[in-house]
Amino acid sequence: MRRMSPLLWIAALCVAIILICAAFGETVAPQSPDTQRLLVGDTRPSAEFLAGTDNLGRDVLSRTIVGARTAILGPTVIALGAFAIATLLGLVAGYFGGRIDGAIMRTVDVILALPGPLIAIVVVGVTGGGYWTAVGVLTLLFVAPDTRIVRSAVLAQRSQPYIEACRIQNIPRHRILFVHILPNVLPLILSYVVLDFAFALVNLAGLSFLGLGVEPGTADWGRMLFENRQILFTNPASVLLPAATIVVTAGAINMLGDHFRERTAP
Amino acid sequence: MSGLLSVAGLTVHTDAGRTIVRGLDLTLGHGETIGIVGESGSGKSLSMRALAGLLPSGLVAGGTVAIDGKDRTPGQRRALLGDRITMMFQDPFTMLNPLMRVGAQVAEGLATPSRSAVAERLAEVGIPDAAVARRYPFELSGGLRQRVGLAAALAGDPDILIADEPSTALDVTTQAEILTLLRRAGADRGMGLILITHDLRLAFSICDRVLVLYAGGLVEVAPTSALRARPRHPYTQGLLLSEPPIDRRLSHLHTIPGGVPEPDDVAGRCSFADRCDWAADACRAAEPPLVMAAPGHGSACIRQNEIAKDMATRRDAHSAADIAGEADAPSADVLVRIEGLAKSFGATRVLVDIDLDVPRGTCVGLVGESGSGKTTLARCLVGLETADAGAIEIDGVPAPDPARASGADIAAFRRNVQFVFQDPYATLNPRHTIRRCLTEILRANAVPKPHVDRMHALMDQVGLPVTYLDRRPSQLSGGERQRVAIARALALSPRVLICDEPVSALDVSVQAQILNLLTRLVREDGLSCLFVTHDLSVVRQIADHICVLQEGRIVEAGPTERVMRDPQHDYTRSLLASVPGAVV
Repeated sequence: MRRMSPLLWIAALCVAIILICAAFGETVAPQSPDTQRLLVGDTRPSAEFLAGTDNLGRDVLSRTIVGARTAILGPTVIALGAFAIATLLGLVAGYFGGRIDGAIMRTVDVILALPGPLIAIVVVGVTGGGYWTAVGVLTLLFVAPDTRIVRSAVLAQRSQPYIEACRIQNIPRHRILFVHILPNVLPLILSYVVLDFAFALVNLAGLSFLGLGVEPGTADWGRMLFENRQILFTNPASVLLPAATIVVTAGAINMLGDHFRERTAP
Repeated sequence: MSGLLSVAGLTVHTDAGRTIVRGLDLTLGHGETIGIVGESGSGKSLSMRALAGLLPSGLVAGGTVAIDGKDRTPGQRRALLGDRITMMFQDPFTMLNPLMRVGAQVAEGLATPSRSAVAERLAEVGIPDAAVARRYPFELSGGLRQRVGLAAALAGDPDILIADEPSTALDVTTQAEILTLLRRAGADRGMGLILITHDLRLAFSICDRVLVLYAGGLVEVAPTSALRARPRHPYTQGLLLSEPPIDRRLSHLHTIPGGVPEPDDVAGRCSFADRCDWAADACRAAEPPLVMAAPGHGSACIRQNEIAKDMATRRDAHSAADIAGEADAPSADVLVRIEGLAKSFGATRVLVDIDLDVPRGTCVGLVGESGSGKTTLARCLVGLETADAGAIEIDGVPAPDPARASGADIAAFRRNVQFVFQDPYATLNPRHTIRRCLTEILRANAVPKPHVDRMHALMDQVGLPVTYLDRRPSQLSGGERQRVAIARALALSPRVLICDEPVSALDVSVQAQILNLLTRLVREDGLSCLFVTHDLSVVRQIADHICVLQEGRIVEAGPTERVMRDPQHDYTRSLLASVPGAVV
């Protein structure tokens, strides 16, 4: 087994901190994130406001901490939801082949041919937006590439002698699929779930930045980038801190995902 | 003989300190061919890679290697690669760059590349057609690729060629040609040739001296003729006796019990003691040194002189007696009947009008080279492939048409015919214990409870302790996995067992155990068996009847003894003639 490098430990630590922030944001935050101090306005970092305030006088650090919630929740739903659907589709397509395979995979091809982020922008924009609409649309868009991954893994298992032995020995199909094939492709799938999470985080933040994600006023990293871009020069930390958390979270999770994938690879 | 290469105390360790090679001494002269023989896990490949400075990362070599009398570090040895030392590998496909024409790959090694020089080099390895130089590797057959590989290896005019199982991936007929070429290339150029192989007979056919490796250490070194006639280490003798002979059929093959241990598990004592019939307390007290008994003949057995007589007696007994009787006249009672079977993959006709009968209670050997269609035929029988035309009948019941028959009919048919796969490592679900695997089958086929008794009976039938039921495949050796695979196939009490190369991935000593098991199942338990193999000496030991398959057609069929003694078809004759060490 490969040992974890110091960098990986740091990545794991980052992820742990973000998870704590997501769960107990209000308790951990030094200030109330939504309290407006219109008289204070945007200020640079100080002893009271470690990352300064935004133009409504809200504490940037506290908002960033509380913002971890939307940053974790949505991508988790997207990554797990997309893979639950993709696993089912991929198993069916890969194992049964033929027409079912054709139907599923051609649909996947069509979705992959569409410009994903653009579709998300259009759909969320037309339906009036909202965080959970964005999450739903992204989940569906993520199903397509994930189905491909699962299907190829299933195909590789399907021709293995132990699966063929099951067929010869009259093991029912549902058992072959869920008791034999699924557990053997699951490690691969899970490592991709982690990678999906990172992509989803960046995509969701992007939609929030465009004003299509969370509702105005919500503490959200992408939304903060959008709202605070006017005060970039008066309080750079108000933009740099949420930007850095997006990059660090996505990067750390990517690293962990890579590590686990390498470990599960033969 | 001048010393071209001399190696002393060569070791290979992992970074974590696990021993792989415990210390190997060898010498090689100009024009000499030596064989490094060992089973999987003996360290034969890694020790030779260490010699060439080509160890994969994570492994460290120790000891001294001198070339032309000068000590060289691993880095220096690697610098000599391609120039003084060359390696040639098992898989002729991965050895060549798929994107380069073969001529260019040969030219890379030449000091002064030219079209005529390339043609000359190709002609030297038996490719007279200069047009081959303009082809890509994928356009060539396996044998041709291995020839090109040899030409590319020889292009730099090396002094030492290390050939790692160069013929294992090839068909028997091509195998013999490649070995002859290697031998001649070595002799003509005064090149030292090191042949790494698991097959003693193959080493005997071209080597001057043979070194036998076991669990990372050298157990015997001797000139070929001496080793063949008078092995002095019990392991070597065991290997020799385990080889199924091509010229006769034994009622029971010699086996070495157990499997090859990890070098660290047998440190400080004789590595073979646990499997040796002559082991004494002294054998386990210290690691026996390699003692020279005769010029050039050394054995790492401390009792080699005491037991020499005993070993000779056993050899004589083995070669004299024990020849199994001829099979009875083919019984009229046909269990499996195949008529007019045909199968194509796209435009390729894999099976053409196959007629084949398996009489009840006998074993029929299906022999053929790769691409002959033998595996496809076996897979058609169990429904893993669907034939295009023809009929299959087992015990009077025609095989159900998968498109039309009911699930129950298909299930009932499958219970009568079961399959044993080639690869012992992929044949079992790595995540399930043996108990779980067997329980699932018994339950899926509504075998009445209690299942425990049935499972114990199955384990007993294949010679495994019942405690193994709770093991996972990763805790079993290759031979043990294949036993489990046989137990699994027997779980539904089939009438016929289809074995697709069940021993070709196993070591010689383990191979004999599995062959004995299958023979016993046929002889004593009345099982019928279709045994698919490329190995004629294996089929001779187990089959009552032989069918020789060539390019999808049966070219010869008959009782084993008749076919082996008096082959009628040219193809059968050429197959027989190309077995290493065969007396033609």
